[in-house]
Amino acid sequence: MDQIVETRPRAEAESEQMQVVMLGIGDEVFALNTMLVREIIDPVPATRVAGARPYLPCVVNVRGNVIPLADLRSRFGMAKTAATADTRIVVLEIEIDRDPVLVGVVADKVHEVTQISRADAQPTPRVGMRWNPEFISFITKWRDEFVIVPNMERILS
Amino acid sequence: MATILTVDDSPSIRQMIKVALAPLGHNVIEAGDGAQGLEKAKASRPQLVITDLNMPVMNGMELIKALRATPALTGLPIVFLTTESNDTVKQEAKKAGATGWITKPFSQDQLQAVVNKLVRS
Amino acid sequence: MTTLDPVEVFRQEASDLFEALEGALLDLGSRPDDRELIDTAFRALHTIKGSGAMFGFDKVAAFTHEFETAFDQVRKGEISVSKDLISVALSAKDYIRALIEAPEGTDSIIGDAILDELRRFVAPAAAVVPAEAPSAAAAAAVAPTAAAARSRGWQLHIEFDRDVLRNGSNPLDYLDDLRKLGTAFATARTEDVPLLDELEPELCFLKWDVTLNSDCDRAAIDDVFMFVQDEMVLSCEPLTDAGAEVETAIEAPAPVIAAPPLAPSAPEAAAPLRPEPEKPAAAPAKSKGDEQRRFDDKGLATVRVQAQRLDELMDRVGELVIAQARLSQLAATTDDISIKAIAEEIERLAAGLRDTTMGARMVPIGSLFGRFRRLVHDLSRDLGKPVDFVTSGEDTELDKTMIERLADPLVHLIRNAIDHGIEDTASRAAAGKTEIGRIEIAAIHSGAQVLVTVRDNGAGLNAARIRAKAEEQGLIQPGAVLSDDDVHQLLFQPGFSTAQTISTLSGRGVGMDVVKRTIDAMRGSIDISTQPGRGTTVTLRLPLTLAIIEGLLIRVGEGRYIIPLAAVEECAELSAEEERVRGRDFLNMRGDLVPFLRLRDLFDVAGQPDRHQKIIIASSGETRVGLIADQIIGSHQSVIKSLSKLHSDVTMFSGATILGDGSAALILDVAQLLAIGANVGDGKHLNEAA
Repeated sequence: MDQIVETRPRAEAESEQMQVVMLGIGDEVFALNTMLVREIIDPVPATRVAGARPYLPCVVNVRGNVIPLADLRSRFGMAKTAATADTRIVVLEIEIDRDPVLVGVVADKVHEVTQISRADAQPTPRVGMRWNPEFISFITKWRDEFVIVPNMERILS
Repeated sequence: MATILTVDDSPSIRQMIKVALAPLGHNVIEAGDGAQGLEKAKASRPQLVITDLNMPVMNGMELIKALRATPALTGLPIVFLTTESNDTVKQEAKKAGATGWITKPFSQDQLQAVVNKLVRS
Repeated sequence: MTTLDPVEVFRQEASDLFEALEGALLDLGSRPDDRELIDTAFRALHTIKGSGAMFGFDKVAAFTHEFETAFDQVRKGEISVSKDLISVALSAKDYIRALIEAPEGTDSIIGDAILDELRRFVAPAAAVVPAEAPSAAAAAAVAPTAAAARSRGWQLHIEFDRDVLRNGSNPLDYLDDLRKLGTAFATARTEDVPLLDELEPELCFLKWDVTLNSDCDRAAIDDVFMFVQDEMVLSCEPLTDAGAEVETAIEAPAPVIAAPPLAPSAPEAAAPLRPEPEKPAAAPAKSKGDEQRRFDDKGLATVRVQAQRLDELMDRVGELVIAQARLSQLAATTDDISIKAIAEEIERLAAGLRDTTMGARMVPIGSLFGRFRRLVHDLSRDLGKPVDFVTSGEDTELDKTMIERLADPLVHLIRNAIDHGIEDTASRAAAGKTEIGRIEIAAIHSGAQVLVTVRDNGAGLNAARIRAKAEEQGLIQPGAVLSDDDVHQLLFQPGFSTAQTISTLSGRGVGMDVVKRTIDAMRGSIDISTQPGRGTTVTLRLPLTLAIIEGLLIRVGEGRYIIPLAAVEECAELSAEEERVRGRDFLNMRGDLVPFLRLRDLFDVAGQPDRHQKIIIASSGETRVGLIADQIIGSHQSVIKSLSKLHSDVTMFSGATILGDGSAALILDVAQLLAIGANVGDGKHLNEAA
């Protein structure tokens, strides 16, 4: 049941609108710009890479490419949980030093694709944050919940 | 359909000849120098040889003489390509046994005309 | 066969010809009398001119014509090769190249200046031979009358030289051609045909009278006989209502016919005159086969393939190999003999296809070396440092993508060698060295690697200067303790440069750090060795190919890994005795002490090792290391997938591959493991706790 996200967001500059896919990781909801998302696939066996950074512990084979699998839980200091029927790998294409790089992100659940607006951005709380503010582009509200729009480039490099 | 052997060290000329003759439906085979050309001519018994004069290993003049010295290839029409427009080269090539010539640069029509002249189906 | 655009083929070919031309010109510098070189240069020019004109590069043709004229004189010994001539010729070559590759960027002023220079060398006596128009003589003879001579037809009398058949001309074909101009009535005149026993079947004794009803002009008739004009007597009279009237008779160089007139004989004798090409009906099919066989036997023929197609082919083969591995894995679990047999057959075929494909991608490195000769020539001139450039191992083959990627690093290394390595003439003289420096570039196979060395006999690396520079640039702390090797490695730091004066060569923005990154990306390594006052040698160690390797599949804990088979010397079971002595870091391999690494420890694998541990001895050159694994699964054709940029900090693995079950397996970086092993040897224990 692979879902391929093909829809492109409208020009962001004009409307400040952004098309995102909502991912549940641990007890948080992350909103990822659909521009970054290449595909969403069911979990595949991962290969551990000895000596790699803890938040990039594995590689997986996605259509003949061996790509790193990022563990955002470790990056955000969340506890590990076992995969469930809802677990998915979201394949992203991000830019590292101006080169496109594919990376997989494990999501506990993929909620939906929706529009959010930068105009609704909430100030990032200084206190009570358990993670590095560098990793966050901004925080917004969706269905009365706070959702995090992460800065994937920063998180992964 | 006739077999036509084109002998030229320039792949682009060979390719050009091939493309230019494609509409006539002939089978064009290639050789990159005179020695190779002689071998292919003996092996494939073409109905026409189109050869360059200036080539490594065995030049066109030598190839023409060698083809003429091959009894099995008696009567084989041989056309040479020349950029020289002076007659000396032509006379020399004719003396060596060439049937005709094409002066470079030539057009597709010119080439087809010469081939039609020397190859009868 | 696919139809390639001839113009594109010409561009590719021209590029090859330029390389050949440049090589010949540069070689002529040291061997100005070498006939073969002169011929090569001349031929290249000739082809560029001829083909250029064919494919619409008129400027190229015109320019090259003058260039060729100069070389024709060299060829005829009328002018001799001088250094100046070579320099001009090289610029001329560059100009032609620009005309073909980037015509919009060329300026005819430059072209004219080069031609002026060239003309200085051209012997005045033999100045440009006036080029005659094609069959100018014949055309001139005809022209005055051609316009006037339109009529309702022509009466022709045709008499060929007797040996006209020898040159492959068929008189009957020419008569046929006349019919294309209009209706023609031909009468054969047989009076010269000899008696049968005197009849030479290869000679032509017939003459023809032809009445041609056509409004064509005289030139059209001459066109028909264009190729045999010199071997015939042709008279043409226009047919007028009033009757026949001789207009012109072309008697080109009067044929000398020794044969006396012969008595007329039976007309039937003419029958055998028509030369029947001797070819049995079955011949065409057979000869085609012959040609094919020759093609294979001799390997004479080459086909140009677009590089991209080779890449695609390699990708397909890669996928096939992966699919085949899955099939083999499935077949191993079945009892069906016939499926096993098919799996084996496919495995064999896939391996063959892989080897063939890789072979097709292999290119001799000589083509690359050739490019550097010009570089050395120019650098040597610009810097005023005379240099001999010596190459060896040109036949050494490497994957074509590697050759392309090697070009820039080698350019940089050569540039460095001349700019920084070779001393100026005065310093060399003072040091008691030959005035002429020497740059050697060599390639050689070494196991599964190719070593490419750039060696100069210059001053050698100055460790103190490198150190000072590094301190100045803040790359190292002042007074840091560094071995010479460590100091040399500083050269590869981004932004590092020791050039004391800025030469014309600086400012290219390519540093040794880029060289290192490029070589690293190719899974290669760089060694530097230097002797003060004697010179520096930079050795690039490169894998043969980037695409597929034969690997040894092993298991360590739950994980499966690939060791490049080329690096594997032998495999053995770790003896119980060796197993027990865990404190030891060396194995005794028939008297040699080999350091070993427990991969479980290295990879931080939890749990208990398998009972019978296996040891794999991996090596590169003289260095060996023992790798201890839980299981040796078997050989595996590994399509190499590079690791992501995000994993660039991972050192123990050089890449990954995809296994039969679709999962990824990492490929061990043997060079790294050898280095770790060497550290074990030095007493720097990596895993003391283990």
